[in-house]
Amino acid sequence: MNTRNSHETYAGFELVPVRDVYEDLLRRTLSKISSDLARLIFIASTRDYNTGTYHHEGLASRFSPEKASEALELAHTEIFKQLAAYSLAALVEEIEIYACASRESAATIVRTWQILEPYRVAVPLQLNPTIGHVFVSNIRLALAILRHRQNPEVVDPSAASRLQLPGQ
Amino acid sequence: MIGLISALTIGLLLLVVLVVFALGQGSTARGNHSISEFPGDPRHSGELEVCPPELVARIFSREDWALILQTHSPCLERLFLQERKRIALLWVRQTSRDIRQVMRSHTEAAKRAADIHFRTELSLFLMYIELLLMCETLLLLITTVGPPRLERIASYVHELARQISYAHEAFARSSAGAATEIPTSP
Repeated sequence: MNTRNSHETYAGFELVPVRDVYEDLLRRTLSKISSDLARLIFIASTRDYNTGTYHHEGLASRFSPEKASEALELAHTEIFKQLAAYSLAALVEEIEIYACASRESAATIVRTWQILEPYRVAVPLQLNPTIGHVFVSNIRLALAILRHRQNPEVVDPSAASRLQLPGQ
Repeated sequence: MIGLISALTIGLLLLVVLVVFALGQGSTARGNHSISEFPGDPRHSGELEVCPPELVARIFSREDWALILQTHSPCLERLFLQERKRIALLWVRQTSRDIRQVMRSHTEAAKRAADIHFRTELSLFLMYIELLLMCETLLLLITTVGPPRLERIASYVHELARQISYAHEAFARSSAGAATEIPTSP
């Protein structure tokens, strides 16, 4: 679909609907990422923690920084809602795929995530809080399942406080 | 005899309303203590965002519970039930709080509306009473039975909340439409 000629321009940028920018983001960037969890982490990493706005150089140069931010926010909320409704089995699989794609071992990732809970920063700003709670709780459970699978003799696979950070 | 039955019926209805009111006050008080960790609540700006049905199904999921049982880990079982109970209680309290907010807005809108259908309003009120009672029952069942056995009742509560919310939205839209039709004096 060629939208280049069908939209007006303003300050050098095309006036395109956010949906079109979102579709572009899906097609060019998100489709190349291996799992939904990795997509979520990628989108969350484009957010400025001080302002809550999103930045993506490529998208901003093709459309406008504002449209890029809106599209990223939309993508963030949509993918987050999808992941929050994932079954525990599917979520465990997502973490495994994410670990495989990274250079660290799955055991290291599980241990670090249990201690630092970095997935908490992946919660979108404008969201029904129950969805955020479900997501965080489910990731916590999925990590405990993975830890139990990695080491079934661990008495309490959810006990993060007694664990040590990698390298310590 | 008929007078006695009527008096008893009215008395019973008043009792139900009183019980629901008392339960509702209790829920509100409890609900206010559970301050969200996630500050970006769109409902703070007056917009009601209902939880998606698949998320409600997930909170009360038997499938997840079956996965946990397969691990044969008492610790995981305890963690799962603890987490799901917490989330389920949070959802019920939020639903109850949200729907009370919807009914407050509805009462305000109804006061201003020129055309009110008594039967529709009565059925909406009865649905509201039913929902509050169901929420209180669900709160009790979550703590006693546990969420994995309550998927059906939870989806019923969710559907009821959705219907009330939609009915109010439809009423608000039609009232707003009627208001714009009223001719203004020059």
